[in-house]
Amino acid sequence: MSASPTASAAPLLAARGLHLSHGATPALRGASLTVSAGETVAVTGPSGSGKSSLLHCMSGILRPDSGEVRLDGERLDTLPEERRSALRRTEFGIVFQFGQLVPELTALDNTALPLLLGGARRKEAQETAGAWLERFGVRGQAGLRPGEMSGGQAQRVALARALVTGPRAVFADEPTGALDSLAAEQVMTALVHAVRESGTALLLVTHDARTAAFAEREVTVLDGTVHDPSGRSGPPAAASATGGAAARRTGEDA
Amino acid sequence: MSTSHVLLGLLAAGPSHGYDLKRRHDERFPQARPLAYGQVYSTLQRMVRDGLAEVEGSESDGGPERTTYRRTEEGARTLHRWLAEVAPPAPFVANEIFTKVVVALLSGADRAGGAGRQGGDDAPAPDPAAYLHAQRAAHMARMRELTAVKTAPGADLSTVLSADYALSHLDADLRWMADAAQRLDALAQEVQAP
Amino acid sequence: MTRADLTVARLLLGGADRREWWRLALTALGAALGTVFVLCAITVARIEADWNPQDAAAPGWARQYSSELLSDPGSRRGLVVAFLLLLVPVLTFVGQCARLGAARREQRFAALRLTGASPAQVHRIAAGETALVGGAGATAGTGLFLAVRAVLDAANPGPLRLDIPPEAQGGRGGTDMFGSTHVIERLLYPTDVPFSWGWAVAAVLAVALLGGLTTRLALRRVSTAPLGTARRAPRRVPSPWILLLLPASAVAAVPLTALTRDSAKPPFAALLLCLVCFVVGLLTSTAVFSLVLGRFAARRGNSAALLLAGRRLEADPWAGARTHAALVLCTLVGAGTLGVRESVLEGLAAMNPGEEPDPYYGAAFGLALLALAVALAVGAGGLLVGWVESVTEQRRTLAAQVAAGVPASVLRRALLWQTALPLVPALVLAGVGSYGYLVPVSTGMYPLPLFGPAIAVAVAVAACLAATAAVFPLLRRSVHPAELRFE
Repeated sequence: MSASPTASAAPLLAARGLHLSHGATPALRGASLTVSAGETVAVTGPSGSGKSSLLHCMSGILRPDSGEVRLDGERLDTLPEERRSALRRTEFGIVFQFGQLVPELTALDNTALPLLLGGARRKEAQETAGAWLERFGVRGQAGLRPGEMSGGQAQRVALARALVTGPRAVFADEPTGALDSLAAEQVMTALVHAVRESGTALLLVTHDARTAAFAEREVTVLDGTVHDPSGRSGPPAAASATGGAAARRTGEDA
Repeated sequence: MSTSHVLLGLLAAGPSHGYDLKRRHDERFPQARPLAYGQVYSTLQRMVRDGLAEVEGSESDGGPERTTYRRTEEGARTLHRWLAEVAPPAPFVANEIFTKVVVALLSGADRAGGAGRQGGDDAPAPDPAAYLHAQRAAHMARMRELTAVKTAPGADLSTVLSADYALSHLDADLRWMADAAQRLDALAQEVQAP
Repeated sequence: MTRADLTVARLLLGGADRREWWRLALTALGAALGTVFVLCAITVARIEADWNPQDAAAPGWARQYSSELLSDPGSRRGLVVAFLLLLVPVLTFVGQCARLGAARREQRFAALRLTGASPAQVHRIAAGETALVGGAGATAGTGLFLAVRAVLDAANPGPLRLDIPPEAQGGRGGTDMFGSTHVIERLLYPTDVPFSWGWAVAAVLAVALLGGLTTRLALRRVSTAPLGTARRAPRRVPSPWILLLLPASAVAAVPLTALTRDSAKPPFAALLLCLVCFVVGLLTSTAVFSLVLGRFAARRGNSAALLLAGRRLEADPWAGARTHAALVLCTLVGAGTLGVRESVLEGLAAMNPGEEPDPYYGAAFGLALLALAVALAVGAGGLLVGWVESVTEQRRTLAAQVAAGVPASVLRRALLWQTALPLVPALVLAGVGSYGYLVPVSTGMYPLPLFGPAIAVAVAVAACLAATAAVFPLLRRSVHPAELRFE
């Protein structure tokens, strides 16, 4: 899975016909989504529509019940757990609403963690991590643990950690959900600047229109299927027939 | 808010002429509609008439003659009064989006009730849900534009804050549209009740 | 275990907060205790035998000690095994410590997984953490061992002059070149075995490694998911039918026992099988009792304490099963040992009336009972640690109950019931079960013991209840209304 920035014809990430159930509750029902290299895509939808499940499947955190996820045209969902874990610390960066930092580690070590897990030397890992903390304006908090930081600072550290390995895609699930609006604006601006400069793709799951507006493109998840106005992700399975109802429900996801 | 208040604020820095005032206004409020020079000129004349400003003098460094204006004591008082005044909250109870939804429901009811009465009316029935969906897409597109402006490299704080102001209002519209979309059926019943 | 795993484990240790230190300190304590036992075993194993060349008639004897426990090669082997067996409760304790702080651990594991650590790597990191802490504890344990050794060395009697010719004693000494009886030295403790740093390092490494492996084992059911839904894989509800193993193996053992007496080739293998079945049934019994008695108490009990205890037991019958198993096993062996002791001493008294029994037996049984007491203390410590964890995790719920009017005394009684309902029947069964091997030992030669097993069960029950009561002060602080405030 080598980085090939010129291969713009083949999408970076492509999910096709994903189905996923949590027990008896279906979360995804034939969801498809395509993300090109360096593209920023917002995934919106009412709560419980399956947008987080889509992110989990596309980032290899969860394995879909059926359907496929491809990274650079190669199947990702069929990889064993070990390989998918390795992808998360090399090709992907992941940011959640909160709680993704290890409480015992300082901001610096948290940021260096993916490099350390990959076998990097601590000193080199910390140097790279320090540069990323600087980039997100939290260098001064490098020695603090997550419990000692504000929510906005912790999210910046999480962003630094997501980008420290130079990933090809960042997956962000409600990254500003726990922040006040000013902190949210600052975190989102920092994230968008960073992915734009490094050419990283961004899949941004949010229920908030202002956050979604940070992405170049928006798709909507309704009842486990993706509605993509650009039509690039293929038609939503079976759901397109219910145009009126779908359109009405689209109004819910502001 | 009126243009005269903004001009009084700009004149606080010292006497200035019309073109300079327009330039500084457009610089300070990048996302607002640019002031027309004629509007600046007429407003300044009205301010002189009302005693809020007075002519300082004329200058012409080789170019066309320019009149310089200065703020009066009365002008300063008027400005301070305006600045301390609370803007009336939520003044626009009637807005275009809501009006369109209600009218669409009304005309839909007319068609349902009096089908064929108006011969030759083959236009499709208005669909308020589809309208809201399209309106939402337009709002989102505008929000993406504004966000792109404020996240462009080198955007200054004035740009960011003015874009945020517009974004907040568009966001409020979206929230309202989301609620309205969910309650369209109930609204239709209410509107179409005989 | 890679360098990366150890680096992350070290970083995690560096950031452990006050609540985590509690877990780490207990782990280190367990490792220290384990190291002392291992070093004791090594010392006994390294005792220099055949010290006296004139004593060739009894190969393997170490006559430099006054106690036959140390002189007799057979009992030395027994001692080594006993010291190593003491590692079992100690490791159980270390495993119990690894499971402390479940909520915090879940968050830590999920965060690591999200960052790209594989499930195996997360478990390796946790094991590495215990190994590092265990290594530190084991090093401290070596220090403790050296200190104890110095104390015992001082307690050893100085050179003794004996009237009896040394040849008769078989001890160190003899007639010197001038023909006079000379000083012989008899030691109480084997402090003459030189301390070996090589063996000490080996012991420290072994204990650290065992600690890491125990942690790996203790957490094997803790599945780690990157979304923070790490939870124990669901375990089957214990089947009450497993209790049938107990009477079945006991009934099967009766004719076999009769055979051992009469036949020339006793069916030891069959007896062993019976014993294994019995022990398996016994170790599972606490979970069954939790479920069955918990359900019964919740339905029929007419006190609030019984209702609370019953519902909690029913909800998670396997909670504490590990600690319970250690306690039950300890009681089984303890009841047997006390029983054998009673039989042997009574039997000797009956055979040689008026004579003092050989002090060898007293010392041997004393040592065995000391070891069992240590094991029981460690087991009860594990129980206490489990309660501390449980009360700490539920402190908001407990505080809410008290705020809503549940008397604190009801919560205290509920805890006691929660301990007693599964453990007391299992401990009594262990006492009864000890007759399984007491009967074959006693028949013929010695009288069947009456008090020994009963005393063992009583002591075990008391230890369990005392360990539970020890958590009451913490419970009192935990139900303070301040706990209701959000942090």
